[in-house]
Amino acid sequence: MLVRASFVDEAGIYTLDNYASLFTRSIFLAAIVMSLKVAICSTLLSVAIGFPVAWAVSRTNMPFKGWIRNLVLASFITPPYLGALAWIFLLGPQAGKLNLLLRQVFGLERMPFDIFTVEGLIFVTFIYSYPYVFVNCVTALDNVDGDQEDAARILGATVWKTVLKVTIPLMGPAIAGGAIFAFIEAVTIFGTAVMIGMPVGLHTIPTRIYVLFQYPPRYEQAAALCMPLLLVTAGLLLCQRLYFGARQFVTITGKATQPRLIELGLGKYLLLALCIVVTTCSVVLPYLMLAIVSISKSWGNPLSWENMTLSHYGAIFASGGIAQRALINSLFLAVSAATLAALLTAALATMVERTDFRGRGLVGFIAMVPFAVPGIALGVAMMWAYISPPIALYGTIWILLVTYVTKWIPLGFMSARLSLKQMSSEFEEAARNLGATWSYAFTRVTLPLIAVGLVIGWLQIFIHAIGELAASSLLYSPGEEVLSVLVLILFDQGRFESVAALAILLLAIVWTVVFLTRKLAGGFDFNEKPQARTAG
Amino acid sequence: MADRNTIRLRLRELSKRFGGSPAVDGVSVDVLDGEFLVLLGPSGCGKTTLLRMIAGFIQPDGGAIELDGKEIASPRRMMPTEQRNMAMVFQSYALWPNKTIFENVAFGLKLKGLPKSEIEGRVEQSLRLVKMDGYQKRYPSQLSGGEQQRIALARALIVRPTLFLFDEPLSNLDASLREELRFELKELQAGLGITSIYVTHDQTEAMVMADRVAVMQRGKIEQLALPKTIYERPTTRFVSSFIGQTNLFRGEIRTDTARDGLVEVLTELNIGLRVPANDLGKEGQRLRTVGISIRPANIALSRLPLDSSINQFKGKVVRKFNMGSHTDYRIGIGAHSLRVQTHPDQDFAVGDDVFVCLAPSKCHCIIE
Repeated sequence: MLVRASFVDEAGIYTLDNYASLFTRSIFLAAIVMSLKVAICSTLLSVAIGFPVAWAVSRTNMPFKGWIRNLVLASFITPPYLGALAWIFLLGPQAGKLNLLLRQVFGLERMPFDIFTVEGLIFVTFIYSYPYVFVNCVTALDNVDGDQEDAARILGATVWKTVLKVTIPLMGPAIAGGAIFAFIEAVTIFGTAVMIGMPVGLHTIPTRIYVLFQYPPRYEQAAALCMPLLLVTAGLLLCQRLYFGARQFVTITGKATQPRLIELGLGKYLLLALCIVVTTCSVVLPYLMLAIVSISKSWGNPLSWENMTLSHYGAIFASGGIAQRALINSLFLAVSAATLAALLTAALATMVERTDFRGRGLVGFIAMVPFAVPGIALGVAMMWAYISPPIALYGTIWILLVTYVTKWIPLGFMSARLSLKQMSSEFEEAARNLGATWSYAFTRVTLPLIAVGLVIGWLQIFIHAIGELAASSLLYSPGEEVLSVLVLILFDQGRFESVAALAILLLAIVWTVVFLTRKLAGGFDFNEKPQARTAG
Repeated sequence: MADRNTIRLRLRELSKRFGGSPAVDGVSVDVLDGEFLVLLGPSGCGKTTLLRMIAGFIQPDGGAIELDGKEIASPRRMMPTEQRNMAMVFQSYALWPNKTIFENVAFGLKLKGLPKSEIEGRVEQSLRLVKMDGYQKRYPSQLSGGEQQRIALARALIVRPTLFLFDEPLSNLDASLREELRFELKELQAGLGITSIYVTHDQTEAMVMADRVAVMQRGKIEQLALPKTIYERPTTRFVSSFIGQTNLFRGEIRTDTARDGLVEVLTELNIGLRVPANDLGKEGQRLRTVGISIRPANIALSRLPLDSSINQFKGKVVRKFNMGSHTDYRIGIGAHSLRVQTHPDQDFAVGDDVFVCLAPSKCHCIIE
């Protein structure tokens, strides 16, 4: 753990001499400005859209609420660079399908949209960062004490006054928290920027870092460029923890009443329209587009029987091919990273929650540090840490394994810690009391009870790891690609149909695991009873 | 000023169903001006649903609610909550945690668009009433549960409501605080003369605070009466067992035995008990079976037979619990057991043979 934490610093230490001068160069400044611009705009959009959608789904009588909820969560799970890819097929300036359709419908002379612009970049970034605002707000809205709204009503406030004066102010911390996560996602986003911005010279910090890793490599500058990113993410997360952590209004004490749904007249159809447009943009259209392109001989041509083929899928599974190699690598890495991280974090969480080891607070903190490190910065840090002996992993596939484990330790740790927290230690104490040793009690009582939690943690890590792009694109070694990196490589080569097939394969893997997780989480959740017990 | 002769709130055959099963089932009550009515019952009896219908959070399926002679809710009509000029105090306090105490209390007045100086004056006045003046700038989370409920009370008082609604406001507080606030709240209500409806499952609370108590079960009002009457003369088996402790037996009336205003009932204890005939009323004349309720504290025990031989029979001490202020016995009579409470000075041991005496005036008939 400690060794790993030092890597994060290492990036800074090595480059201390370089980067003062680096910031005076205009291309880096431009990248910083561009990153901020994209992040600010997409965050504003995320709040403007994410909150109303969350409110509609949680608190109104809008129809199809369950569907909308699931679709927004689906956008959350979709790797953004696959969405970016799909939107290039949809709104490309030459042959974008949606562009063509719109031109035909409105009888326009030129293509109405060009995705390869700042606006395009902001749009695609936004459709995969608003779920952060949504999730944060929907959780808070679901848990509002209905009495607090009823209290306003009976004192003379109308429905709308209550929403404005009571509900929205109560949501302040949740909105701000969601906005912070959305901003971090947007400022560190890599795949989307590479696919949409880079081809036309629109650089953000992450893409500049990526370029510095290409020939001729300038690793010191790359490390220096990580610093503003790290500062922003760490600063914002700290801010979120200190300020909003303390002002969480929606923590429930005592009996809270289920809030009542607000009856909307025609307004509910307006809100539904908004929800449908947003989720169509982030899920329905992209998935559809990727599926169509993946079975086209040439995606520029209209869809027809002659233009259809399954050969792109065939190529993936062809033995000895680069794609098959990547598939095996990705699966191997995701499985082993998830397993290692789950075991490691189970041990760490036990140490923090169940022992009186003196440094446990520090351990808990360090386990969460990678959370604040953007993927691209982690890639740079890992490269620096493992480029030279004693542990020279750079250039092998093992550096990816170490990176994945590091990156998702926080996720596994949170999941394991939560399971342990929800389980009353009285279960263990009861076993100890009956004469069991600590280790016997842990393996026979505690472990079975938290097993489901650990498995869910494992699956979550797997889902994230299989789609990881930013760090992988810096650290992979030629011949040992992973699926996400291969998507990028084939995209650069202009083999769009193959990319689409790969994308569909990736999505298929991700969704299989998501369904497994859901089944498991819904199926036997015996965490529920202990939770109720400790709460009481 | 409160006028005890006018009807402030009238509920007519009020009903509400949730998914087929009735939550409130044909409730009719007249609440007088300035009256403190307590809705008492176990959880799920429909008391909260009834209160929320009055507040305007739930629309009735049947019947109507009239406020000052004007219909405010029925299956066809529904005056919005905010126009009813009521106030409510919640079990969860429902203070807004992001607003200061001042902002919380001032909320109702700000909505009315009153001038700032008047709002400040009335907030201060209202906080003084609940003994919380000077807390204006604090946030709810900085206050204890009891203090928060005082603020919630001030927030409700300030709008000078026509009707004051309480939804188990004291049940989140610890016992001693609950007792203290109980008296204070009653005093405040009586002083201001605000018509109040108070929901609780705590019978002591109901006894202490109510002008009248409505005991509810399964969506219906079982008995609506003065607290004293509810305790002494429960009219149904449910009321007699819900309010305080009691011994309940079934029995058959022997119609030929009426004498001295008493009638003999052959109980399931296989013992004839003589009980007041007037309890049965006119309708009772035709009944064959009745229930008999007698409070454990109204039963006398002695080693020797007492002079009066009415309702006296033999029993055996089966169990004994020392409760401090009194002693709780289980007296075996045949296969049945009777609960009796005596002064701690009167000491019997388990296994003792005793005489049990039930004063006829304390035996109360319940029509089943």
